[in-house]
Amino acid sequence: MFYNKKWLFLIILYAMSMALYYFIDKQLILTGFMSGVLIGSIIIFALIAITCFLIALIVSIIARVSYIAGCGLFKVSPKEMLAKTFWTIFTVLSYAAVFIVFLKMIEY
Amino acid sequence: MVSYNTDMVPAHKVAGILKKKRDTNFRISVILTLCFLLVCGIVYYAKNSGYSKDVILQKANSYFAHEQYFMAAKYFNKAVGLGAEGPEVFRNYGVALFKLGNYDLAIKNLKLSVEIDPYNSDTYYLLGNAYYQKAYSANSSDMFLQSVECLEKAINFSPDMEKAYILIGLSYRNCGMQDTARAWYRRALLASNFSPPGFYNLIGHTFREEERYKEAADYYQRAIDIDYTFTAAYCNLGDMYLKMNDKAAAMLKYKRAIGVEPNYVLPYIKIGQVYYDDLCFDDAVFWALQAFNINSDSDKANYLLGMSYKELGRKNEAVEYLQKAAYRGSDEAVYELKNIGIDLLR
Repeated sequence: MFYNKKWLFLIILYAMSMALYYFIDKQLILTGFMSGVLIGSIIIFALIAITCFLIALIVSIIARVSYIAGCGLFKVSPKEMLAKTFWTIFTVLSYAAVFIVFLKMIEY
Repeated sequence: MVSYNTDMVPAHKVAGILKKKRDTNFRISVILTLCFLLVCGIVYYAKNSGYSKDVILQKANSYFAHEQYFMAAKYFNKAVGLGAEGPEVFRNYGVALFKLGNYDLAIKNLKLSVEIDPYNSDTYYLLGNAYYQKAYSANSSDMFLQSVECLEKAINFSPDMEKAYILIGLSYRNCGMQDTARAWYRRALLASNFSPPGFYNLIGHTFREEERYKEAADYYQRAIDIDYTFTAAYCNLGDMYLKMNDKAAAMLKYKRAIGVEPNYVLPYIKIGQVYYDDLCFDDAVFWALQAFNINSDSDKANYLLGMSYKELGRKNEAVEYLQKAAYRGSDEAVYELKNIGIDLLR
């Protein structure tokens, strides 16, 4: 499984959120409670993690249901891989989200 | 993927195989992450080298000219990052930040502008204004005095800058230095062809703030003597007569203001308030309604109507107008509604 040490992946994701905060602040001049690096980067990290979590959950459930239906059709016993599927989708989506936000923030 | 039949392999060997598999996963994960960061770096470098300082600056100036200050600030920030400089760049960037309410960065950039061009009165005025706004929100006397310092320089380079005299007076008044503010207003009257009624009115305010109502009234009257259409001065003079307990004279001045400008809402509210204070609530309603008909969004008119109806025992109308006043920013209306038992925050 990609990033079997999940806590390490979350730390790396937070570090990337801090880098994103730097680029967002350069473009948008954040004010209010977003003006602090710590709180701002935590908010960005939380937004990315929660969004990707929800999408990964939905996609993995759909994938699981489709897989079970397919196994039923071909009369094959399904393997338990929901957690692995979810985590893989989550990590891929997280990287994609970071990249998309990064591309948007370096564009003028 | 290879699967292992753990029934045939000893347990310690299974643990070792699984550990190897996890390490491989971990290594692949780290390599993929590093590749991802490398790609981001390459993309950033490629995009950045494609930006032209002049094109970015042109876009910034265009947004600035169209008063789109958010976009202007964004592009000025990039232009400065690419090496754009010059007093006008920093000044416009500072103005864009000022309009966005970011006074700290505005001050920083306006200071950079004056460092390059130390003889520009407009920049000193803008810097003084930024210090003033920051001082006002922070209620800091030191910052008001910093504002004064910049505004004095603006006046030195441009003695006919009326707005600088007005702002310098405001800064001193906020520091509690009404006499110094007066000195500047008098200096403005002597210095150039400024509007005397305006400055007499401002001098009147300084006396009013010191609770010297007779002298304040005198200066408001002087403003009216020069400009009989100065409706605000009539209202100010009326206020001073009220402070000196001469209600008849006050009412006369408020009505005179209405005679000069019938669509000016303030004198109607003032008259209504006098009747309210005298417990003549029907008359208060009459005048408050007149104010309401001119400007139905006036929080003061709605508040006065609400309170007058409340005293007349007409609760429904009272609540209606107090709610309107509250939605238009009247804190007193919110408090009154709470007393009645209506909490707008719920």
